[in-house]
Amino acid sequence: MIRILLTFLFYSLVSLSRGEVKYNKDVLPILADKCFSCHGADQVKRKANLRLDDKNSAYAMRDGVQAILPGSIKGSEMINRIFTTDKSEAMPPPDEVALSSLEKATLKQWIIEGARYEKHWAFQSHSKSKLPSVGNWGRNEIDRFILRRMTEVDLSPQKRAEREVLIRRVTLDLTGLPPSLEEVDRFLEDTKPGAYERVIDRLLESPRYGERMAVWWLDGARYGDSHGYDNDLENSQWPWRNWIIEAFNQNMPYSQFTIEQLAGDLLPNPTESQVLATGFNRNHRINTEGGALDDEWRTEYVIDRVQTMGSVWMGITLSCARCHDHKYDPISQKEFYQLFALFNNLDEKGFINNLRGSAEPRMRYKKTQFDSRKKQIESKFENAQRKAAIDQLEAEHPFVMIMQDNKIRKSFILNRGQYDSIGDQVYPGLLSAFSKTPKNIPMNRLALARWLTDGKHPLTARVVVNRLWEQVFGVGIVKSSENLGVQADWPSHPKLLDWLASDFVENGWNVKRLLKQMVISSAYQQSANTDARRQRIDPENRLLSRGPRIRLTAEMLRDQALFFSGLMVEKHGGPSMWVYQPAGLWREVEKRGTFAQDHGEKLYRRSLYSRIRRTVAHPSMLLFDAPSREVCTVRRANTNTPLQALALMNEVTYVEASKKFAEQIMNHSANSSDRIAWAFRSATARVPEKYELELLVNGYERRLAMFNAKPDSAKKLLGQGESLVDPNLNQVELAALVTVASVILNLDELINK
Amino acid sequence: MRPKRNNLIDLLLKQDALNRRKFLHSSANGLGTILLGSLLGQEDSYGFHAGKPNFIPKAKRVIYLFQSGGPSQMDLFDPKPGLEKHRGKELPNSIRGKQRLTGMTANQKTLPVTPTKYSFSTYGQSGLELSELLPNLGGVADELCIVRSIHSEAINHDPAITFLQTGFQLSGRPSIGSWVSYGLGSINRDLPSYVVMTSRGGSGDAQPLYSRLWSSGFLPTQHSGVKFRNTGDPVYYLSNPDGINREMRRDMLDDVAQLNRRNFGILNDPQIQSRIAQYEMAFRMQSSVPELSDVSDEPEHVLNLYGPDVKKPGSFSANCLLARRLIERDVRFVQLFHMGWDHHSNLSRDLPRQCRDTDHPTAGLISDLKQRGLLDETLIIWGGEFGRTIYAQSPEKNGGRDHHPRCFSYMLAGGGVKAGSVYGETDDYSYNIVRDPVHVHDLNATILNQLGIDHENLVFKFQGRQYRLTDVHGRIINDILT
Repeated sequence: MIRILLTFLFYSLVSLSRGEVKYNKDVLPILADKCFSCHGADQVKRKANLRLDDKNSAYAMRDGVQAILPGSIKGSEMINRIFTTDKSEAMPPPDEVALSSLEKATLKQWIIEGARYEKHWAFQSHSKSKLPSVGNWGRNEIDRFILRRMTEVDLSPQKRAEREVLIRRVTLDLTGLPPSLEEVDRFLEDTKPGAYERVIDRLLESPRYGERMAVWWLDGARYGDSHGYDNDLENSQWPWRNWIIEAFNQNMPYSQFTIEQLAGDLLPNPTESQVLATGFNRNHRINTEGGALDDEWRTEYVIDRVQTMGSVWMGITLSCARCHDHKYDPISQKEFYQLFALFNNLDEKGFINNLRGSAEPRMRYKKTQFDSRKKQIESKFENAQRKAAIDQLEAEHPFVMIMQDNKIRKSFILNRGQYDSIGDQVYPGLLSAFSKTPKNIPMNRLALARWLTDGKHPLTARVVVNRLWEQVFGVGIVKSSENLGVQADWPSHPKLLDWLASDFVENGWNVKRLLKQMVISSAYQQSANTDARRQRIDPENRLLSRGPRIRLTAEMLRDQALFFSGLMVEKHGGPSMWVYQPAGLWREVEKRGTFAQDHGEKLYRRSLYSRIRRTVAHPSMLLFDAPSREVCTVRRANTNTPLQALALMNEVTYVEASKKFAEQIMNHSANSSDRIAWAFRSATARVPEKYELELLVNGYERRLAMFNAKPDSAKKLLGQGESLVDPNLNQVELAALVTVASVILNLDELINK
Repeated sequence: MRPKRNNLIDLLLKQDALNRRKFLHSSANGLGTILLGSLLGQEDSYGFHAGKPNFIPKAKRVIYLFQSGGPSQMDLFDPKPGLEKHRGKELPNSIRGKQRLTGMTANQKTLPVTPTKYSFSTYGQSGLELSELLPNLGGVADELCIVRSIHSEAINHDPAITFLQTGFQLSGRPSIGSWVSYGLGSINRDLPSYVVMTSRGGSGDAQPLYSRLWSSGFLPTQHSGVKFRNTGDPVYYLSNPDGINREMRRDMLDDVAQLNRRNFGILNDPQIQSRIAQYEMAFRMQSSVPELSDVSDEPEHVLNLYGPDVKKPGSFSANCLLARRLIERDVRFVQLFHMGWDHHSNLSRDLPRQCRDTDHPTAGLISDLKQRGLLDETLIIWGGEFGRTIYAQSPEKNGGRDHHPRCFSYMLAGGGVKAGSVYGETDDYSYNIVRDPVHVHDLNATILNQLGIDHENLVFKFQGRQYRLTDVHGRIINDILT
């Protein structure tokens, strides 16, 4: 401990005397964390009229002293206040926050070096810097940046991962499902150059790709299948989800993807599909609780739209500016309400008692098709038959909530963010600090969308590149992927982020191309093996000194189990399903809860299509960190808990999957060793080692003996879940194989990618 | 090659964080606790900003008996004997002020003053006044501290209950139990640190509850309240499937563990070791939780303390008994939600039913803890998301009362609060606070304080901002503390 401290002090002194303290990297995080709440952008909370985020204010002479006199410790009152032992003078106030000695030293050194301010890096436009030239490792540009950073701390890349590991990793990352054995074999047998690239290209063309990407997007879009308050009845927004899946599969440029969701209705002669896309801004919850005040809640929805747009596209927390000027980021309260004014012009209600389905404004999903089918039905059927057919048709073509500027409202600053505390009137407008407001076009949502995607906005591309990076590598280049504002974590590879963002824009916001760049990089292809040194220097793998190894998402875990079991029903799109949930889940929290679970193939669709009732989250999805979708979530947690183990061991979904997997294992061959080897390889993509196979076979034999002693237990185990097993198979052997399948599905290797 | 400075600083900062973590662990051990005990999970991926016990705590644990729907304060805790003479008269504008009303009574033609029809008596040496609907609580009056001056900002259930639970009206923030779990960690090896149970009241329609009320919000998910259930497995997915007994489960888990260990030998990823540990804890929970829920070892005289419903699974009474068993096993934060207090109509039928559900078990819980010597270190909290109006809603029919966030009552006991005391005062109509107001943030700050947490220190950085349960507010109500 003492040695560590000494080393620590030694290096901090040595390094600080070298004269390399940078405002953005070294100083800003300290000021933002410890000083800006009283000496920042917020006028109301500001003390002594001093801003430390603003050069002019910090340098200014006040009562004969300057907070900062560049180059002079004695002349800088800030330094006196930081180091003083007089508690009444000390800054920051000792009873509020404290600076560490390293932080104090950093501030001091920065002033000695001239106290140079820089604009926050993420608010400056990005460009491609020269590629680093170090070593000869790597497949593409990404690797050049990765290798340089590794070299700086004396780390070297790992060897390439085994092909079996690689195909499993990339298939899960790009499609959300593991590879089939046949796909694994094809890759192993493909000895021609470019084999891995061919795998990537195949995966990007799979319709599963759009489903995998949709899960990612739906978190930010706070998509759910219910209204989210009170009795929380179902909505019918799923056609909007179809739109998302299709847009990803068609590889719609991210710019267009943005424009259509934010303002598809305002495009000239918008298509049905473009209007449908605007459902994004109607995915927020709607209050259906008796007695709720219409105005209050309508205001909340508009604010939700502004905040969600800020988090998803700009990676900044606009909500702070709801009540006051933003303390850290350059966004005034007035600007917040200018954005508010953009989203405030639809004829909508704040409170709708017990709403089921959709609220105005809305559109019929695929109306042309609906109309013609309706005509057919009306001409073909009579009475009861007709009614049933039309009900069915309406379920397939529900009304979807969309955006429409059909009631232009005056907007005002709301004091302290309160709906009934109206301040000055504001007019639609954008944020001044980021990118120029387009001229000569109407100021509406379309102007906002074009501003975000004009290629000059400093945040749009950085934010999405960083979030996709997080999907692939586990941690974003900026770890706080939900926030790239002044308070953001310092990027692990700032120049790489800028290079990728610029490249993304230059190449037409091409999402598939960007993902391909990432997964084809040598950094991605590394083995995930680590060692004490890598763990010590790079514990979170932010430098990518090894391949990414990340726990599967809640959706991937369930989908993987369905996939191995052969139960999975692959149908793309459509309404959501009620899958298994613990009995009584709803009854425990409400009086009216009657749950009607779906049956048959609806139980086995991909998890993307499981119905999300926002106030009563599905317990096992929640356990694996899937958000409730009540509000926009840009970054999921990634936890590892005992309750997860219980779910994977005991939830009917996983027990049933083990059962059906076992059935396939049994049908594969007659010999238990062959069977288990095949099972292991199907699941992990690799051939088991001798030790592993023996262990599994021995376990099988032991439990076979247990079931033989109690054949009743075998029968009970095989009764789990609604699917049936072949009665002609030896039921005791089958049950013992279920336990093997379950062991395999619970391996850490299967829980991670 | 020599590392450059910037990278070094990175490394040093990391080292700094590690050291700080070690320090916090060891200093917390001094208090007999394990700080941030990550028994229920890995260290979060968000960085480390937990608070620490700032001082020796008065209470080690909390039992929070949340009364969902909004109990009527003037019928239970806040007597207004002088009000009878105004019965039926219109609520004076001077009292009503500019208080907003819900959509349910905003357009009601009259707002007739409707004093309680229940009588109040004084109890114990303290002379605490309680309604006739709470006779059993009267028996433990000298343990109670009634706060008559709580006030909130929200007027509808969802935002109001969310505000009580998370300090913010809109969803997305961590609940109070999650904050405590995050800040103090677990002191139990085999059980979660925040447990939630729900029960339905005997009265009619009830407001639903939402899982976000015990969610960890942006805190790491392992700090979410774990809901113990009324039916089936007490914890989701706890039981082995039919056909697999404990012996076979152990056998399977041994295989899983050995294969995982082998994989760790190759990959060296510490996550794998953590996974192995989590599976072992899951196995232990499979026996510790049923043992906890099995009350067959409770003697009859103890069961009787909790009233006649104690053997009815899922009743408030049965949950109170389980709450005691949980805190005996050092679960830190137990929260019961009892539904059914939203008496817009038929108050005279439904309020007595709700009181029958809760009066006896609450008093029993307090007595039981007292006789076990656990009351002093257990803070008990009883209250809902708001109070109710003195004027009647639908007076012409079977009248009730509308929501009233301007003043309502909470009942506290144990955990270092002043026993046998009353705090705060409302006006003659129980409509406005006239002395010692206690905001929701003040209540939450005080709860954290009793657990040894400075509410201003328990922060978490999310989306670039430091968040607290009490936002930028909160004042400790020292006058109700010993």
